[in-house]
Amino acid sequence: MERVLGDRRAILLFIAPALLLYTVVMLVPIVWSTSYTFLDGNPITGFEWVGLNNYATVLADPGFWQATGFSVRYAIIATVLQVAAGLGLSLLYVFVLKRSSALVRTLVFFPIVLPTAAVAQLFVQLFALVPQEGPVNSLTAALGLGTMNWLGQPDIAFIVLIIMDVWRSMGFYAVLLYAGLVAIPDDVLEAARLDGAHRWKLVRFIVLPSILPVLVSTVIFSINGAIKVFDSVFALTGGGPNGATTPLTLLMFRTSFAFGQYGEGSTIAMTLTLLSLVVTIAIFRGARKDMTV
Amino acid sequence: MRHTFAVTAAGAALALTLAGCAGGGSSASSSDSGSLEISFLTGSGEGTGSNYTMQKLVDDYGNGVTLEMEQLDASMDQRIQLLASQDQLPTFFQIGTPSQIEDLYEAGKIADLEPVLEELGVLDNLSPFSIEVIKGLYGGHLLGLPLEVAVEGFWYNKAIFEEQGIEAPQTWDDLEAAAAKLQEAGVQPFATSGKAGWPVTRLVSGYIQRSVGPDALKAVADGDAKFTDAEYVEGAEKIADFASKGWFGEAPEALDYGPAQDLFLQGTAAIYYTGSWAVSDFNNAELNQIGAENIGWFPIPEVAGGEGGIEQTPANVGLPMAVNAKTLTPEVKDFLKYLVENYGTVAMEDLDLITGFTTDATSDSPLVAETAERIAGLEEFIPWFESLQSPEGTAASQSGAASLVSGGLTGQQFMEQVQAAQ
Repeated sequence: MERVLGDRRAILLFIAPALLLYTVVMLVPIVWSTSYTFLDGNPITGFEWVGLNNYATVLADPGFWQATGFSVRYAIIATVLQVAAGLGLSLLYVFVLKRSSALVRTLVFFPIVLPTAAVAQLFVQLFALVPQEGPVNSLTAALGLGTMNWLGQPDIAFIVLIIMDVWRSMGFYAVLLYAGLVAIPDDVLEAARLDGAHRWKLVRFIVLPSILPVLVSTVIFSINGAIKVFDSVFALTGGGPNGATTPLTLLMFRTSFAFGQYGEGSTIAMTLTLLSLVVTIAIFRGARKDMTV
Repeated sequence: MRHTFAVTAAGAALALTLAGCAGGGSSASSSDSGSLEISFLTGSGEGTGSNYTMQKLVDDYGNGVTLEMEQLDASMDQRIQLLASQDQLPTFFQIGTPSQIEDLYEAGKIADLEPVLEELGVLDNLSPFSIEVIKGLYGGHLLGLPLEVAVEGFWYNKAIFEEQGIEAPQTWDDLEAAAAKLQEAGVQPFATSGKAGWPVTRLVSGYIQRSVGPDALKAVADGDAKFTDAEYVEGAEKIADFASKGWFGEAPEALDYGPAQDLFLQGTAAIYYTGSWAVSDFNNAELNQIGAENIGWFPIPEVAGGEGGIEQTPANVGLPMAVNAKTLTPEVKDFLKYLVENYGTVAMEDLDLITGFTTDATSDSPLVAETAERIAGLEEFIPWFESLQSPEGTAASQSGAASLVSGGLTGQQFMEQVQAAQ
């Protein structure tokens, strides 16, 4: 057995198929896309070499910085709220609902299964104003607060987007963190309670440190998804009132396929990649303090 | 035993994957049996427009020709670009964006139809007006067939006008007076979709072309003028003014195209600017609750002291049909000849649709007959706001239009945004 696994050639033979698939599907497109950042054009008109011109154009474009600001803001706020909501719910399942949490867990988890476009359409109709008032506007009108075009104001549209995404994914993160919570040995919790730690102290000094690895994974999961958000935004606001809710992904999509500029689009994709890389490294650095990661 | 099972399972999975990969893509091909397969990308829904007409033409043509049709949606630009990059453009396809059409022509992917139709002897089957429109939009070449011809103007509810004692406006000031009167009487003056963007920019370019002149948009495209020049900004400011006065109703930036048309056809709004492609909806008793005979038309009124005249009408050829240069075989040319000779008649007889092809058929519907007469009598056509702009400009115009009517952008800011995207 050890002879086989110790032999370099055998190892290579075993990983060759998967490595080949990975190279073709992941690495080749990355290199190809990077080469596009130095070219200009599209498949119909052909490509020509422009060197670092695309980077100069993209970095000088105010629309790019607006999109970057939006992506970062959205990623941070969405992640914080999603994980916090998930954590709160998981604590609820374990400490309050205990055995009867199964039904609640399933119901809260359900929205993540729905297609993003369907959820977005649901929210568009919920917050609709013309030609028919949606439920939210009917409610505010009944309460005497008047009506408004929720998705037509940049800041309000952002809030609706966050609410939609948190509602959709909090059940998922709750289940992830719940799995981490149930793994905490009961005797540790008993011992802590005997020592006088209740509620908030229990959570802060015993529970959180115990689930730190799961928490870090959840944060990584969430931030990765939030930085690359596309379908939620596209289906809800289409980029928002005059581009106010356009993330980098949507900007890249529009530049490449609607405007036919693959070079600039690839450059935007490259900046998004670097942003994701920076965030991931930051998280891993922060998590490395705890040796269990 | 388990080993062989695993290998068989893996082999089956691999075979299925490969079979799936091989099934994709579409292209025109003459199959081995000699029958011709025409592939077509249509912009029309089932049972309407080119979707219906092309199928009927293929069925009537016979000769073993079959039709493979795919329907386009809002992402048609992307779809066509994708197919072009894979060299899998269909035999015929409808296409919307002028700059994309010109790109495809320069890359040799679509054919200049003037020499082709002349060779086939059917160039005379196209109305001179539609040839002029197509060439004017696509750099001087006949790059598409006019499957539809439409003129734009203000449609109005005759009953409401009579009730309020308003006559069809002759000048822009008359239009504003009429709108103010309607607003006071509690009737929404205009049905305008800010969400779709282009209904708003049509009004902007309409004003500009009456004030600055019919070549106003061409001047910008040629670099002789800018959208940020004072006379152009005036147009945007006018429309922003209409919106702030509430003449477009509540939250026009959230109103989509369909619901806006519904507002007009249900008698809630009095005036509706759109093209004659909407006549088929006007003739649809399910959609039209005010009655087709109750709908009148007036052109974009003249602006006092402006250079433009009332006889200059915005017109377009809908989504023209481009022909794939690489699959233009003699068999396809024969079918093309048949198509050009018969499309106009089939469309008019079966769908009451006005096309750019000459035909003797007429329509029973007064609205259609009226429109056909109007088109036949057209002297000069003027383009629409985004027609001579790049895709970036179009995107900036249409997303900015919603903010123009919501108050998010002033007229000046809107024009700056549009000019910056040129």
